[in-house]
Amino acid sequence: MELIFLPLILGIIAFFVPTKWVRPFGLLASISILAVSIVHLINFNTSDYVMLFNPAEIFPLGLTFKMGYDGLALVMVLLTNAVISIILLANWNREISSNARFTGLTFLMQFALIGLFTSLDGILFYTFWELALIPIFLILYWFGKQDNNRALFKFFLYTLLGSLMMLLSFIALGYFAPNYSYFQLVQANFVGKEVAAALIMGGILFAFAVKIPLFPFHTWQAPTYTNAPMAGTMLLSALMLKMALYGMIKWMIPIGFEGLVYLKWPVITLGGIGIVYGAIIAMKQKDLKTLFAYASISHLGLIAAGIMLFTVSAIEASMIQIINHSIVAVALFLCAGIIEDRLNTRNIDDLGGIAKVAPHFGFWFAVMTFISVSVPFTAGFIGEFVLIKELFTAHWVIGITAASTLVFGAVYMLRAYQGSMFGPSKVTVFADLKWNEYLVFALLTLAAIGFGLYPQIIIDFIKPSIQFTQELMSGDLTLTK
Amino acid sequence: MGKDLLLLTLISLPLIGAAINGILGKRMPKLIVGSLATMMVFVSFLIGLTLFTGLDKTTIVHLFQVAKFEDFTLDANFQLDSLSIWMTLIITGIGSLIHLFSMGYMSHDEGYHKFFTYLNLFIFSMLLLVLGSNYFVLFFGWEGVGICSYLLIGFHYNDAEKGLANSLAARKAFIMNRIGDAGLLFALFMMLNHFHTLEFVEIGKMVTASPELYTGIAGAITLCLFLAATGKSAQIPLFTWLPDAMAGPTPVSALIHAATMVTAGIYLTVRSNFLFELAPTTKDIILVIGIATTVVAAFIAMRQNDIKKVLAYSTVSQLGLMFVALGMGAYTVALFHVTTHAFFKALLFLGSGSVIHAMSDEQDIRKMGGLSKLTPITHITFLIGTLAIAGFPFLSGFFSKDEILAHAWMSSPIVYGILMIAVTMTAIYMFRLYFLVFHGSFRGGEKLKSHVHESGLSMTIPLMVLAVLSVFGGILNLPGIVFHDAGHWMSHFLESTTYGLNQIEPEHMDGNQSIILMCIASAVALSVMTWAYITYVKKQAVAKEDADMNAWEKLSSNKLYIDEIYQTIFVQPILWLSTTLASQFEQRVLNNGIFRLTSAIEASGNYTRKWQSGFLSSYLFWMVMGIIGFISYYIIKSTFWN
Amino acid sequence: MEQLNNIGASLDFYIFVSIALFSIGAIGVLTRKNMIVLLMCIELMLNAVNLLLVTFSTFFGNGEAQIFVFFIIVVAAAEATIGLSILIMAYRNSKSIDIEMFHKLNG
Repeated sequence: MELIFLPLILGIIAFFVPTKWVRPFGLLASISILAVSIVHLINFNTSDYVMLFNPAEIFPLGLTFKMGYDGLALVMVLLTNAVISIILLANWNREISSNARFTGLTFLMQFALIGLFTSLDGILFYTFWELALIPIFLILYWFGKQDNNRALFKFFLYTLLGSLMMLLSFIALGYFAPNYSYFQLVQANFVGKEVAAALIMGGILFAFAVKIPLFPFHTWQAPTYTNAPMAGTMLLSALMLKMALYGMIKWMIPIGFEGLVYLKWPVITLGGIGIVYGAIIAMKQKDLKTLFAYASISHLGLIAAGIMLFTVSAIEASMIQIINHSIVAVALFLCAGIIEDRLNTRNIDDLGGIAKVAPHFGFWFAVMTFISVSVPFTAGFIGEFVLIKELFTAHWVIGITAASTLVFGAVYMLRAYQGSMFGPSKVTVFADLKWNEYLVFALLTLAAIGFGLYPQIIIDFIKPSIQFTQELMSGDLTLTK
Repeated sequence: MGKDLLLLTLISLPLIGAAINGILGKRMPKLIVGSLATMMVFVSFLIGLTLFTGLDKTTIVHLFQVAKFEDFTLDANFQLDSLSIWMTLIITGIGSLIHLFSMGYMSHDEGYHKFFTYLNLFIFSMLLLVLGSNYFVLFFGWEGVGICSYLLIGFHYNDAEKGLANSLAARKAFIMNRIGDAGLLFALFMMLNHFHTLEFVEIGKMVTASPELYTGIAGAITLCLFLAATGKSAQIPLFTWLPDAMAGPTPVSALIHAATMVTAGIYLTVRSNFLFELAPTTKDIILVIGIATTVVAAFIAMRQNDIKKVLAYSTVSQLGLMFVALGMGAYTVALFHVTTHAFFKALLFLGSGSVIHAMSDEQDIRKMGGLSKLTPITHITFLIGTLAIAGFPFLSGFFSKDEILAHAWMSSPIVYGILMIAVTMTAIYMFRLYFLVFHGSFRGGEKLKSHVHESGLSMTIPLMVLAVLSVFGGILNLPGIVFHDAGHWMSHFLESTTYGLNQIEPEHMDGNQSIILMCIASAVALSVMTWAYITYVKKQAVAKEDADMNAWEKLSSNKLYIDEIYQTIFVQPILWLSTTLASQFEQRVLNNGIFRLTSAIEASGNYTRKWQSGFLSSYLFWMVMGIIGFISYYIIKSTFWN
Repeated sequence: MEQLNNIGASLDFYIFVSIALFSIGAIGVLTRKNMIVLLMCIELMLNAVNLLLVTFSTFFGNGEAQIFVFFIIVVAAAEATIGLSILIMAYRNSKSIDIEMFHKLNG
């Protein structure tokens, strides 16, 4: 229980901490939350299903309020806690980290995220899904650029529409299961009602597609990222998007498998289009953040397409890739943030020659660039390898489309890197990295290389939970089919 | 120490060197940094020699399992057999010489420790590439060398003049390599789907056990593998990155872009020979592309004026020649040429490095001339390299080229004819280069001349060693027809890795024919040499300026406009697409689409708002109308439908 | 029985009168702008309904409806009182009892 409510309590406290103490309080609090989750990790047996809250009775409207985690959820919880610590660390030398409201909102968001990952009740899942939106909206509203109303409006409109669809779908799901408990929902029987299942899942998928974002629903992303403060972009990209991917793996596939056969190829196609589309647009973008936003569309298109294959290998690889993307997102937006901090611009045309004046930053930015183009010895390498392999096995056209990310990714990332770091020295003064930035880069690199050399550790964790879901699903339906 | 441990040490030494230099190199004196890096590679070479002498059968060393997925596993395994150990010896042997050379060449560079870090990292990746026992480890190394190549080509990104060009060249190399990598990726996927393993030995066993099962898929796999090879080994259509890659420091060009990395494509093909043997179409494609590349590159090389560009196109051309051998199924012959080419091309590049070093970083051969007296050791060694590559009798290049030509003659006289043209062009551009640089009078001005000096020992020792190897390298694989039992030592050594599908001798070749072919080749080399001597030394002809050139020369000097063509066909459309999509589709269709939707909702609200006029009488009016409507509906319904 | 028949024969007249009264009231409400007239017209409609109720009550021999009518008359009186007081307040605020002056609730 403390796993879920510690962030809530600390978040509320954070609002009342005097400005002087906010920064250390935030970092210590996030580390203590991380420590709590690590204790859970140590006591965790991969084949377990740990229930945090398990009332025996069933409340009105079929609510059950069950909460608990398996390997999959625990990995996501750990990822959330680790990334929040790293985000707070990355912002240490920035003004925003001394702001009580920001720190409090971050913890509230962490609360919502952990709640989402551990909820085992459909309506609870939806509640946390909505809850997570409020802190990030306020962060964007209070700390973003002043004239970002239009972008914020778009972001809110999109996500709200998605959430509405999701709510409708969950209500409809109530007709197919005795109550909203996860375990009941996954056993929901749609035999003979595949179209209804497809419609219900389509609603849930719409919410996910907006958040991921999949190809035609992505227009909120770039302006929101561009206008958001660095920390907000990191929270959005490294954590918020993962809610949707997690939801796809944990909720959508086991529950509505019968209906998803209709949605499988459309979503994979959209993912494939997103891979190429995001990459192509990223090639000519001038604003580093916009560029990374489109790169993100490309990366996540691949993950979403992989998940929709429903093969165990693809889902395992997706998890590796989810973790890798969190690393890359924090790293790249930190790089963009560092440049913006020092120079007040992110336009590649105004940059150039930074590596000369700030060699350490040049080095670490290069390392992050390589991590993001998935070179060997990084987690992305294995993830991309297996994902593209599974897509290629499913159909060679989507395989080739997905593999284009190999080439296009190199094109836009190297353009971004070289355009800002090499070339004519337009930048003459550039303060090199601060200690916290060194630490963040080092930690991220360590994580990327660790998971790149031994991804098995992630696979071992999530495999039993995937198999468990398989058992829960009724009889002849298996994930691999 | 057991073989396993020796092998792992061999691989990890360069990595350790890279780690130490990377972390501590900045605080250590240059001498220690350089010698540490060199020693690491050299010790690897010695270990390689030990393993080489004790080699008996194929050994697989299992390190750890990277990941286990549903229907396949990814293992970090290494394989010790004649092919991998042969490549290892080339890589570490030439590698340690080039490391030694770099200690002198890079001595004035501020990024000294960085350079050796990258260089060691490259050796490590290259060792992964050749020592891996499965395609996955190979792919690891394959990508790894790509990155090191990127880092090293763009090493001088800070250079005031050429910095931008250097980094652009590096990017081009990386991206073009990535296109090839995608090919390798697909080959891997197909192998995983059909063989459920990536181990060379196991796939080899499956394929040789029942070849008829796999003929179809072998065609697709080998095509993808060959795409990968064209990327890494700079063949048509992906060869344009290699000449640009000369932007890197010269030792890099010698090590990566001449001796080792670019031969990875050939290694890959030889390694997968069991698959290529099942795919005659792919082999024909390889043959055609090899011939085309060798001729085109040799043609371009004839009118290049940058000393390194000439050598770069020469490398492309020689690689093409190796692919011709592969296309004919003469795997060991290709490897023989890889070996001798590594000797003399590394020698030539290091020689050019020595020249560039002496000329204070001037690379234009129009500004050189008469260097033979100023830099005697460089001159002699460069001459040996030139003779070797031009096919001067009894030097290493002569034997290896002759093998390829003999195979070509037996397969088709047309192929032989085309190859002879390429070989002649090779001799022409090499002697042109040699005479323009080392003979005649110095054209770079007095000021520059006073600076010209012979390089130090650390640079000349590698030159001399490589010169010796270039002269005697042919001994490794003397033609069997002439030398009988003493011949083909190397081919026999490598036989075990080619799964009995390989032909060492061209079929139906008798000794006389062989000797005649050798004589023709020698005659060509000698006559071109004489011609070049007359043209460039006696007549003092200097490389022409652009304006004086005829159409052919212009074509050669402008590299057949291939870069421009690629730019128009591929790069521009994609960039255009990017701009258009961003400004048109993204903004107009998607973005405005969403706002259209919201404004439509807003407009409908605006419209219905007007109904709410606030006038009581109008509300009442509509209310009464509604009541009347309802009543009349029910009246009409009850009157007519009952 | 005779009585009933007489009423039955004249039932139509009662209904017609009632409809006429109601229509006059409704048209008055729709067309007039003076609020007093409006209130009177509403009263007229109410009485039309009352008349109908009384008629049917007699016709079916059931007195309950007539009790209802008394209630309605009382309520109508109360309503008229409130209506008139609102009217007076409106007049105090705007110096007018024209219904068209009061459309602040428009959208």
